Amino acid sequence: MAQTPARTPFPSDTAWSTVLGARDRASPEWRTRLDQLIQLYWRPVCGYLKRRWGLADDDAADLTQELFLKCCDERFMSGACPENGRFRTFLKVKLRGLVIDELRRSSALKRGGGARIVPLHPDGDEPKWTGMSPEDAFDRDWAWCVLHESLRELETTCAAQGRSEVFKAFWHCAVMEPPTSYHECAKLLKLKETDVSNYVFRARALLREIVRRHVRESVLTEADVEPELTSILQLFELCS
Amino acid sequence: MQLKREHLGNLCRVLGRRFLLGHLAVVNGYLTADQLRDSLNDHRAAGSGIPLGEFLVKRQLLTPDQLRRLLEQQQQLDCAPNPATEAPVKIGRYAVYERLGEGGRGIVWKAWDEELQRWVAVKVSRQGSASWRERFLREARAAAKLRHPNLIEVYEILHHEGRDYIVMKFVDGRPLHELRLEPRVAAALLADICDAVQSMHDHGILHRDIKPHNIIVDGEGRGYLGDFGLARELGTAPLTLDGTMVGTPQYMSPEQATARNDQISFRTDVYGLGGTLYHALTNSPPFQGNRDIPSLITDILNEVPPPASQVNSSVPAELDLIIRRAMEKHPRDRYPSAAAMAEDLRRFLRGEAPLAHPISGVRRTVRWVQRNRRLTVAAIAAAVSLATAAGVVTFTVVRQARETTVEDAYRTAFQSGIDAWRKGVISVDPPGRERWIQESVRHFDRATATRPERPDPWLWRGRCLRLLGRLDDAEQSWTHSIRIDRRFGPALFERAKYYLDTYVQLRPAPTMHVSGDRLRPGRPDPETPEQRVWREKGERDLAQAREAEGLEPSALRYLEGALAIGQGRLPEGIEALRQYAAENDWDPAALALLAGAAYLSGEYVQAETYFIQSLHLEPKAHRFRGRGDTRYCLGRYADAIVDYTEALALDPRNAATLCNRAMAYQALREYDLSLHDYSRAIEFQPDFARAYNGRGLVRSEQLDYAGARADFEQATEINHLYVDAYNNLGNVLVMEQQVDEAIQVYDIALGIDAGNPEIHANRGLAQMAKNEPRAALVDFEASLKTDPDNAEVLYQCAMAWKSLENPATAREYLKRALATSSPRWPRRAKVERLLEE
Repeated sequence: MAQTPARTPFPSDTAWSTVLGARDRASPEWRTRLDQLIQLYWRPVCGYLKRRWGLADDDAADLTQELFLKCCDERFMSGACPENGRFRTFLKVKLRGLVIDELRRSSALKRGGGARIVPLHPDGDEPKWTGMSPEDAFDRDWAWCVLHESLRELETTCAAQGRSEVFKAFWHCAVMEPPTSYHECAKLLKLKETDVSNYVFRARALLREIVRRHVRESVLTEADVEPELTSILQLFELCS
Repeated sequence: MQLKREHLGNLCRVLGRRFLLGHLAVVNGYLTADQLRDSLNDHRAAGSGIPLGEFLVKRQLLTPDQLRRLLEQQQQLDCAPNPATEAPVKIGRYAVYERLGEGGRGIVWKAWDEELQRWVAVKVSRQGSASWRERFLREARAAAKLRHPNLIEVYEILHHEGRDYIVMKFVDGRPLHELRLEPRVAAALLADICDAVQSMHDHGILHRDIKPHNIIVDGEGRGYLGDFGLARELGTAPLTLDGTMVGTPQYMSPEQATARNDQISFRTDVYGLGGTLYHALTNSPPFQGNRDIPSLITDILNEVPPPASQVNSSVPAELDLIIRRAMEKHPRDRYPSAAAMAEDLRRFLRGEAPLAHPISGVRRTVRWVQRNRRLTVAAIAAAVSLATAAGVVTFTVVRQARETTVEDAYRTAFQSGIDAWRKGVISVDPPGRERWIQESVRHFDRATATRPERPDPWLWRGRCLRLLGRLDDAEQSWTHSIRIDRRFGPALFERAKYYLDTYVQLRPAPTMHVSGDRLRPGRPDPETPEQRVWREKGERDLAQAREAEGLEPSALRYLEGALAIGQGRLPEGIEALRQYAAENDWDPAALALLAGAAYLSGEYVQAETYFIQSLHLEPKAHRFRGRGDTRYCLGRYADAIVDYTEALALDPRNAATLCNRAMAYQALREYDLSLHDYSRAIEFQPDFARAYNGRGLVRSEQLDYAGARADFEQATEINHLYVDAYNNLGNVLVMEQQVDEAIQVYDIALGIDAGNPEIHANRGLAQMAKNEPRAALVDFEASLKTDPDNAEVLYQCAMAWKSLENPATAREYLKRALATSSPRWPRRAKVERLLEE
């Protein structure tokens, strides 16, 4: 019998496919990962279904639901293979099959045995992309979700460490439009100006790391992380 | 705080690198947000390659001095953390804050444990070999066994994103070598450390690298021993082979310096404790490290360090004695245990005379060294070569080459091969892809050289070679793999796939015929001897693959499907490939094959979907062409032209693609473009009969019958069996009123393809032109035998019967023609009128 080579520890062992395809469904890690996946992909997937196939809101939500339930299925995920590269590509390919199946089915049956997955943060004040292909809108939605989730995590992390001012400084100087100057921010938060710039530095490094983690889970190798991160940032860098 | 669309620009500029400087200019108050927005737009519109900073200075929005300050800030902000040397910002639940220092095997960071809300020290392993990793983990395991108030406690061992981390107690203090201590304080501190070392020894663990740098002293003067990088449990195999040194030279015992690892014992640590005490009292190591390493080793073996009291006059002579005893050259002459040394230190602290007494002498050392002379020389030689090669002073670096077994080398090569292959297959730019794949081949070459008896590296080597287009070499590689293991499924699959894919490619696509206003594929051609060879080889491997191991059942479906398609059993082939694709929808080649089969079956919509999926996964010239053909058949000529153009961008000199695009232009009546493409196809492939035939058709549509005739003749000259070209030649001759010649040409065509309905119909028309309605009717009936619903032929029959003055029969044929025709049939109105008359 032929020798089977040992598997590489990275990326496949930490990548999305393995985690979701794992047998140990009971593990809290698995559930957390699934939740996280839903956080990041619910909106892009649902939007893509509406734009690409013109599905109504409810139908798109139902089908998105079905996709994520299927993501829990080992066989469904087993088609995820290195050649697929990005997780987004994998999802788009799977979605096409799902929509075709859906169109074949005449009656709308209750899906997923009554289980219902709902994103924790349903659509609220979120941007709507216009004047672009469904594929591009999917990518933007996804990038938006990654940034939104990462910022939320940064805020929670800073609060947990009792360093809320780190996040506040970052929010004022790096996110708000127009941004607050270090000088103004220092006055506002009653901090030293050097502290403000240090906090922005600290938060930026943390946030980059959080974003990189999300991105890492959506690509195949460590070498793809930086280019993917850059491509996300370039989507909005020139926005005003 | 809710993220909104208007925040995205700022956030991305801050997180990214390109426009970070612009954002900093705003928060520093040098620019307003509006100015930045305008500048970014102008900068983009200018499209110049100049950096944003310079652009802003040129526009006098920033002064050079402001730019310099911004660049400094940017550099400070943008130091991307490199996990090997810089802080990884978050390690699991630990948020990393600052660098504490560097230990034997990695960097130590101060981090905040978010769960337990306390500071910890996290040691990050350097990237290294398997044995390196094992040592790192050994340190952690060794330390985790121990609990002593003077040992740095290990909380947990983490594996995070491919790296190992040791999470330890954080001691807020400074390393011993940075402190100047009173002799009594130093003695008390060392006595505690001796206790800690004794507790290690009680657990059967040696430290082997005791030195002041590994002892942290907190604000209350309590010492903690850490860095178990060289720790080893007695009884476990040493990770260093004999002949390599372990330890830090200045504090190294003679047995370590001579690499006599078999002589390393608890008393080796006692020597380290002596050296550490010496340093704590004198602020310098017992032997100076600024000389070259061979001299240092000679000193360690032969010299006695100057008494501490000589270097620091406040040191009492009792401590000299204790140091001398601990640092005896021969282990046998040192304190028998760390506890004994602790006891002597405490006797001193209590004001009692220590038990240590001066017994050492150079004489005894020399004798010991003489006995070990050969080893000494070898150790020095090894040390010199190491020090020169790597410029290292610390001898914790050992010769890894010796530990690397053949198996390690094989695994490394194999794994590197797979890694490079992965990078190659996901790489989007073709040169990058080729570079990775070539690198992958090199790794697999090494793997096959190291372990020629393993089938796997041969399999993978073959896969890479196939990607490089070196198909013969790939086949050889798979053959090698199969020779090693006859039942090795993956290699059998790859080779059979290669054979059958080639077979399918060699089989010509059936010619499409216009029947009425529909296109239909003709019968598949019989196999040529070459095609038969490929098929038989494929079939043999397929049979063997059915018996093989390690092969998914769906893989067999692929092989069966390809074989069936090559043999023209399209529905069977499509079904098998559908089964394969259902489980392997990532495989662009299978989807393309499926698309091709659907196309041949006339399922154009389905074919287009498969081509789209396949192209989405992997754009290839021939797949664009396939989709173009499909769209052509669907009558979407403009879409087809786009596809052919995509294919030509990837493969510009492909005569077949040029020919197909020419056909599509022709369908849109873009005759000049069409002629241009046909001519280029002929230029690239002068014996391309189909291109001549196509160009002839365009020329005949432009009423250039002479030119058309020359082209058709050239086509039949190249391919004597080219039925379509004979048919077209016949048609041109009819147009030129050379009906007899035309009938002769149709005769040749029917000699090659007896019963061809189109040629029969054309010969019938020629007979009509000669006013031979009876002969014409024979041909028309022959045509209708194969193609009974052809409205045009039915109409011609009616015309023949009419000229034979048989209006009733003519009327029957007209009715049949009307019934079978499509609403778009141009003669429809005329036939309806005739029937009314």
